[in-house]
Amino acid sequence: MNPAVPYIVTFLLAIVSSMLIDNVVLSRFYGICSFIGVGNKPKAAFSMGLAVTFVTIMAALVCWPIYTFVLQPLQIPFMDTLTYILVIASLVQIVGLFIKKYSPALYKAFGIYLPLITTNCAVLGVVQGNTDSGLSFGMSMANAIGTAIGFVIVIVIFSFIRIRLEEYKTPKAFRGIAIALITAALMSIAFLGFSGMVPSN
Amino acid sequence: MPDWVRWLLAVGILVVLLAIFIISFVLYRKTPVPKGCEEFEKPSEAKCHGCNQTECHFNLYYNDPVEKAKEEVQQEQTEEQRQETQKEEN
Repeated sequence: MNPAVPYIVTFLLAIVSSMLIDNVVLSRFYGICSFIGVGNKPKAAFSMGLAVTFVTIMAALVCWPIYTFVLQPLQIPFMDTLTYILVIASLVQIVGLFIKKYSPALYKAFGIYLPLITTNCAVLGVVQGNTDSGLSFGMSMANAIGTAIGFVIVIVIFSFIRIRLEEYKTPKAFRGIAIALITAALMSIAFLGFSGMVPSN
Repeated sequence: MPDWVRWLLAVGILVVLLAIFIISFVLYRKTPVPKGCEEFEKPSEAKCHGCNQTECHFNLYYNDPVEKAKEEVQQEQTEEQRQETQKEEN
């Protein structure tokens, strides 16, 4: 981190970087199953994105202290992946429980997507990446926020593109998932255009 | 710190986390669904209309080969109709 640059600028640049340049779906290829599965209905895509945002930020908030203050001092950092999986799964259940009990409106908004997030590898990828790269707590949060926003942007754009695609005649061999994957590949190439936007130093 | 202590700690953490997960899972299942959301967790035509994931437990057509075949036939018919309409227009 460059000491001449204010921390808030670095924080915002980290968010933009994880959001567009290192996009979780199109550059790192995490969370493809939900991207393809839910990405054909904008409302569902947005709900899924909302749930992913919520869980990713919460997971980053909880997992970084566990790694730094429990796993590292006890010299058992090899337990990280297993710990994160269980922490994320428990977190989703606990948050879901409170939402179910106290906030029916939020329960309706998240829908069935909150329990499904448990199996979304994007959440685990973010948390694992934070500790593997040795990021500070602030930068971990920036990475989590940026990644989550990037996921929402991409899945919503993708759902609108797929709606447009349904209106046009597609050759039989390309119908359904095939054309969706080609669209995702083209989007990935388009997102390559963002590389170099944020200087590495 | 000796290796056996580290392994013991690792197993201990794992057991604690598993216990937390099981307790939270049971509590989540036991918590009553809010009013107005009773039908929410049940699969329905409206919810699953746009979703292709028939492997999903929530999907109405979960592992139903007959429904899958019906969908494919319907899609093909729609496509044929669309082609015919285009031909007529031309």
